[in-house]
Amino acid sequence: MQRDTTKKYYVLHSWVGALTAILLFVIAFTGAVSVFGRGELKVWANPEIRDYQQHDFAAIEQLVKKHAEKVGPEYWDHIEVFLPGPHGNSQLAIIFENEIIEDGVHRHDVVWFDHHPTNLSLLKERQGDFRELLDTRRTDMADFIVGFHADLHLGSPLGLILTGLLGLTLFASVITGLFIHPKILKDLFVFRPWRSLRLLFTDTHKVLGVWGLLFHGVIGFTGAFLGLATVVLIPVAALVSFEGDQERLVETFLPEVEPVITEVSTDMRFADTLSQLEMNEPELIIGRFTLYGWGDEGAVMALSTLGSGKLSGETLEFSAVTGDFINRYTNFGRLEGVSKYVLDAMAPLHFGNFAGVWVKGLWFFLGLSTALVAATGMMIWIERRAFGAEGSLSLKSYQWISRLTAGACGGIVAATSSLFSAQLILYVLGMHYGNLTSVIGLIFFGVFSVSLVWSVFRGNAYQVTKDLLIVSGLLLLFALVFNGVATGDWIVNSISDSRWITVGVDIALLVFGVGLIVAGLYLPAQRPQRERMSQDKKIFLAKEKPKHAESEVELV
Amino acid sequence: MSITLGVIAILLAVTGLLAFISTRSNTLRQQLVRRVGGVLGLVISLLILSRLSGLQQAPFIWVGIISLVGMLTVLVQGLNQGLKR
Repeated sequence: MQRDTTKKYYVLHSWVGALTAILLFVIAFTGAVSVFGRGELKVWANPEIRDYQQHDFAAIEQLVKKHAEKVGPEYWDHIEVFLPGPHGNSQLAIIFENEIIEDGVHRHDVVWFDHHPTNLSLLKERQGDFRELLDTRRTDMADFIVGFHADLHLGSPLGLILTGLLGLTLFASVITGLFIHPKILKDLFVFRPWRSLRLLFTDTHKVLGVWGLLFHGVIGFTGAFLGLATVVLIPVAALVSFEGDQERLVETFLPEVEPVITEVSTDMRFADTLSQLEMNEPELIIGRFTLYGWGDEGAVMALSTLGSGKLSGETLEFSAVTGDFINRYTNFGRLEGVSKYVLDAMAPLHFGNFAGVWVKGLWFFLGLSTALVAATGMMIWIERRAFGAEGSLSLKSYQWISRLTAGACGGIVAATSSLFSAQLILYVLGMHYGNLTSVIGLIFFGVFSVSLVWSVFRGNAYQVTKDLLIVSGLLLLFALVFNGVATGDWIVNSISDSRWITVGVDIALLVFGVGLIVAGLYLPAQRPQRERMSQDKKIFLAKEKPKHAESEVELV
Repeated sequence: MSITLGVIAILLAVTGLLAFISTRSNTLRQQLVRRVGGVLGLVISLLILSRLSGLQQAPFIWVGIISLVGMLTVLVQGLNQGLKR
């Protein structure tokens, strides 16, 4: 009975894994890179903000006042300011919003001003629906990779549901994996890479899977929540309790800042408050702030911050007139009970952006291990069927699956590597001020498609992997050199100018570029034959011989 | 109160870990309860410790470091032993 149940869980684990492994690799790999998307890659992708030092709040205050006068009081409901710099935005954006509710439908009419990040000159002024303008905002490779990780650029709801479900399947695989491996303590310390290919895959899968168990489980659970919350949980809850009005539901649990309007007009003075805060709490990162009740004595400024020592980001409220402190709370800190701690932890634990760049690095490598768990799981599945007793298809069919797996996994690495050069080429061509999602997408999916086609025509999965690793390494090294030529930011120059983020990304390009090329050169060009035969002989003694074992010559 | 909670958290972490790694043979259901319970114990103790310490991130960072260092050590050691042979 127990044996049968374990077998059922094993079948579930292997089939859920096999059906989702490639997609899981894609999501996990791009997720690992996305850890640096909001910050480090953003800075590298936008040479204008590489040496951004600090915000000129006085100048920003003057710009907000000038634009507020121009757009008029109807757009003073919320004034949102996205600050430029290393922590998220490539330019200064000032957005004036007029919220209109018609027949229970919320419409956000906005006037949007984009300014150069350093000289603050006006780059663009737009007016229209907030969501439509959001789709045409300036984007870059960092936004592309983060967006791809979130919804595969399939949009909402399809993309989010897909990635949310993948999170659930990862979580399910972690749970089923927990009890199909009876000797889990042994699995923590056993790694026999030289005995046979199958043991190499199996041991790698177990070592990465068991050591990273909590991480994989947390990433799966938080990923499922973040993917499904906005497209399933909130709409369903709104349908049940708020007649489908999702914004009313959100505002009920997370009420917006409500300034006490006094009807006494006065001058807004928020620059000093921001400068003072930056001086008093230098570790605090201010990404954006919103002004409520503009022009009134009761106006409030709410700052969205990171780096306060808490797991989650914090909102700080000040008077936009006197600068008096009003309130400080985490994103979900105003909820009752334990739920606020759980909800506050979801996004930071998924993205690893809660304690600086070193934790981001930790999350990056652990994210890569999640991708490798998926890839090695798929290889085990193929090995056991192509060369073990479990296969029911022909050897050729498994070779096809093997090649396509290598093409897809290697292809996503090559496609991601190509983004760095693509971004710089667009910068040199002067095309970097627009929404680059389509152009970058064309390059990204182009490289990915070519990799897949290449995998079909190339001899075998090992050769495909070898080729794609070398190509990815070359692409990263090309980006490094091209960056030096196009922007003058060679590593030595960046060090002397103290552009540490650029230095960090450049060193990562160098290390991973060389690492991928060395790995590609070191890998065998085909499946090791002698090891396979000796291992297979052992297995055949214990199990039924597979139908195609007689005819197999080599996995090419 | 904090000391009591701290002791409970540490006991929960230790018993959770022991329950998780135990190889004692028993039924699948017991094994499932032991493993899932072990992981839950570890997670709850982490949350308690993070609340108590006031450093909410610290336990998660430690789990991350132990995971990464553990997997890298075993992988490198295995490769090294193979090369020596």
